[in-house]
Amino acid sequence: MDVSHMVYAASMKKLLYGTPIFWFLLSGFFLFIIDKYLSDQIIENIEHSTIEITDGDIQRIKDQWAARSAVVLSDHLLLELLKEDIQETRMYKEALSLGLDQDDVIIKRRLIQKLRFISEDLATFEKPDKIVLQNFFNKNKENYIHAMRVSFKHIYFSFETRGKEAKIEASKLYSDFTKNIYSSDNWQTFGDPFMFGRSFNQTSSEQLSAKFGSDFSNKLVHLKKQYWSKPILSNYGYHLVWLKQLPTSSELTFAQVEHQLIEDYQAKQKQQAFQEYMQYLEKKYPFTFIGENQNISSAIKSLATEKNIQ
Amino acid sequence: MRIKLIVLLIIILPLFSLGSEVPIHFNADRNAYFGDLHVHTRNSSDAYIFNVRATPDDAYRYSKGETIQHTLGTPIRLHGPPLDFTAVTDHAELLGVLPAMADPNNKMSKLSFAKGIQSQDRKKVVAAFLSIIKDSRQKGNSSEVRNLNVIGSAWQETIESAERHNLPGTFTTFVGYEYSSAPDNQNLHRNVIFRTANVPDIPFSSIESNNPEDLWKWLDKIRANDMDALAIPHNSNVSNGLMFQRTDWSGRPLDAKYAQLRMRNEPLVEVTQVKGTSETHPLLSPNDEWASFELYDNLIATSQVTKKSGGFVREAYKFGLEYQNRSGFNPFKFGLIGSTDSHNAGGAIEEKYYFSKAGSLDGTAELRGSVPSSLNKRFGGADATDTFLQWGASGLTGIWAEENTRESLFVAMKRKETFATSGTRIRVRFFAGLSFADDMLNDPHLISMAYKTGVPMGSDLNGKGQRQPSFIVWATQDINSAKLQRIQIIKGWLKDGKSYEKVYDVACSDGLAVDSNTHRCPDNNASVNLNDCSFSANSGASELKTHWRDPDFNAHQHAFYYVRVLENPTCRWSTWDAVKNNTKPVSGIEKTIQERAWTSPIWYMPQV
Repeated sequence: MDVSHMVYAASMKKLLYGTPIFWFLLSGFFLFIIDKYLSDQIIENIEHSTIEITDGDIQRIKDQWAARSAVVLSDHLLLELLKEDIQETRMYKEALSLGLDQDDVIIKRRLIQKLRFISEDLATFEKPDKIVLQNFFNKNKENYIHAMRVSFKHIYFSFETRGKEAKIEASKLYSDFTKNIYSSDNWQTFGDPFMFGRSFNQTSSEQLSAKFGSDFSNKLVHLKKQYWSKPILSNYGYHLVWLKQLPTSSELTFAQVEHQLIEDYQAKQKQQAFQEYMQYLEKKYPFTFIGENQNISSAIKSLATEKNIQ
Repeated sequence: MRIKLIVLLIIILPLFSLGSEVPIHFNADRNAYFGDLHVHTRNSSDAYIFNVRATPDDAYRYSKGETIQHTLGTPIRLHGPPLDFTAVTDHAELLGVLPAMADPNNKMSKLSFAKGIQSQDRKKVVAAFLSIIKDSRQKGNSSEVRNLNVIGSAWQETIESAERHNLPGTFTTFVGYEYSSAPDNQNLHRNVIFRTANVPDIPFSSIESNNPEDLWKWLDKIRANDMDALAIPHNSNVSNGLMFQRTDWSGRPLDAKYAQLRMRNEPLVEVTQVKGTSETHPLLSPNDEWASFELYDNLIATSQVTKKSGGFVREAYKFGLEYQNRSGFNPFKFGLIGSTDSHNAGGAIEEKYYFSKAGSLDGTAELRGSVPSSLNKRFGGADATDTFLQWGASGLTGIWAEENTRESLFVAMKRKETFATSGTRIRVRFFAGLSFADDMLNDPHLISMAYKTGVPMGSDLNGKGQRQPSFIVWATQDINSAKLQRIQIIKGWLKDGKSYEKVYDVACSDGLAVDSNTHRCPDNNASVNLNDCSFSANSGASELKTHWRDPDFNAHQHAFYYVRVLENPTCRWSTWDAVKNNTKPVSGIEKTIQERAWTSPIWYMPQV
């Protein structure tokens, strides 16, 4: 490069850098570049935010409609439903972008519930074989007991037939029986006809509760065998009850509860799997209290050392 | 010699007494047993599409009071007592076919249809289901989806499950299935209930014939091979008037042969279930203030409103009288039962704990439209014409039988000594006789006397000259529901060849008396608090009983009499949903309900 060229270049440089127009054009160029870059970003973002409606979505809306209404879905109504669906999706996306899902108690609960289901589903439970089941049964026999069964006869005094007199007349008959004024041999000729009969054999406490009410059923268990009871209240009136034999209950056999055992065994396995999963999470997410309340701080420390947070 | 004889007798007599030992729960005066004769499981193709995966075993466990899982993840159980009997009645047409298609180890899973069934996309599953239905309807037994090995195997599962859970004396199961004929969506479905587990290899379905008369002929045929069964039609309310039409399948007028064929095979009708009640309709019984009860109007899976005439049992009973009088036969002399038609393997019969019928479609309050939700908000609340809102928490079958065994219950069904309830356990006795003593209600042996000197529900009472019959009616409340408000007798009769009907209140609660002019009980002021569904505990009766004589009796007129027992009002399930959700009950649908029971009729036959 010769001197004349160098002088020319230097004067040109001075001319360029020294004039405001140069800097104006340069900043304009940068602004253009930045603007172009940002626009592309925005376009990209807009494309990312575009809600795409597929045939599957249309079908979903149709199915949902068919599932809840017998009215035929017209094209107009379909469009209305679609419009509403799009609007909801739009609001959902915006809510997410604004972070409205953060610290929301309902969302938190829902996610916890989902995690719980997933954790239970992930654990595989094999069907226990007979030996395992038998051991389980032996360890938990107290849970498998035949309901209490009662045998008795009764004399009924109906509210509907006798009104308030029902109790008075029942008490009078009881008193007469104890004084041997009447022989209880003819017991069937006293009182009112009862829809479910006058005599019950080996009837379970559930069956009795369903017919007489649970209070009545509970009282029977404490009666003396082969004596007429004082009047006992049921849903229908008063009853003098003669217990034929003391209530009995018996343990169920393995064969009788085998199906139930499989379910109970698997439920226990599920519970154990969940507890193990919680222990894993406890390690993954330890916690510490950074507040100032000393009482809470020490209480929480003891919690952390117990390592039994559920 | 004499001593030897006595010794011999001492040895032999106990042997005889052992042989004739009366079972512990046998009752010659008969007990009321409650059950559900209409339950679907995953083996029904529609239930499978509703995402139901519960098995026949689950269905029986539910009926026995155990907890099972609803497909939406919630546990479901009966909150009242366990049921006494149940029949799993899956649709015969594609029995077990869809579960087989979803099982990768089954050959059915390789069929082109199976791809859709295995999909996670609900629309593909539904589309595949519709094409499967279409193919089976078009090609019949030559359709590859009508795989008789698969159907036979699912049928075997049904039978084995029923056998496994049958516990004579405690819980009875019946082997059964549903015959699902529905030409042009007009419901002609029947449940087939077998007497024992001795049953055909493959059930007769609507693929073989859509004509119910062919089903009855098939039942005749298998009965000759010691396989006794009966068919029970349901949802006559949405049959478009076909269920009790006055022509046969080919359009000919009904004759004695048709009546015998039908009554031999179809002694009962399911009058109430989740898809509505078929007793009567306000358009058919304008003078019955209680006729508008849990009505459902649309033909299956359509919005087409069904024809009323020919679809309701009271009108059919009246048709029957006309046939009897004119031609000496009655094709509509059937008894009544109720059931659920649950497709969740367990019936939602309790208003407070309702979970509807169709699995994932209607398992939450939001889905069935009883609470505001994104699904229905644009309509300002649910639309009362919505299918799910019209469905109800109904019903149960009551059977009067000596003991809880298949044989005793089946025989009782055949003699029609049955009643239906809208889901509660109201017990109701009904007898008619020509010589009941005036003070019979107080007889300590009331029931045995009634059987001895009269006839129970489901029977004919043969007239003798001018002698007037009288009726014993006795009902007790379900202690888990509201008290009883009134007992009614519904009478239908024939005069100059034309049939009529009338509703008589015959027993009122709270010491009230029937008005002899209007035949109505005065209002007992029972009320319901719609904010929490509590109801007045101080009105109503725990039992009602009466000995009634028909004030309009005419010894020459054919007539039928059946009983309707009404509870005090309680919240309908849709109101319960709203209360639990802390929202207002949905508008346009009844907020309360009067649960009820209906007996099979007694037919008065004038002396000829």
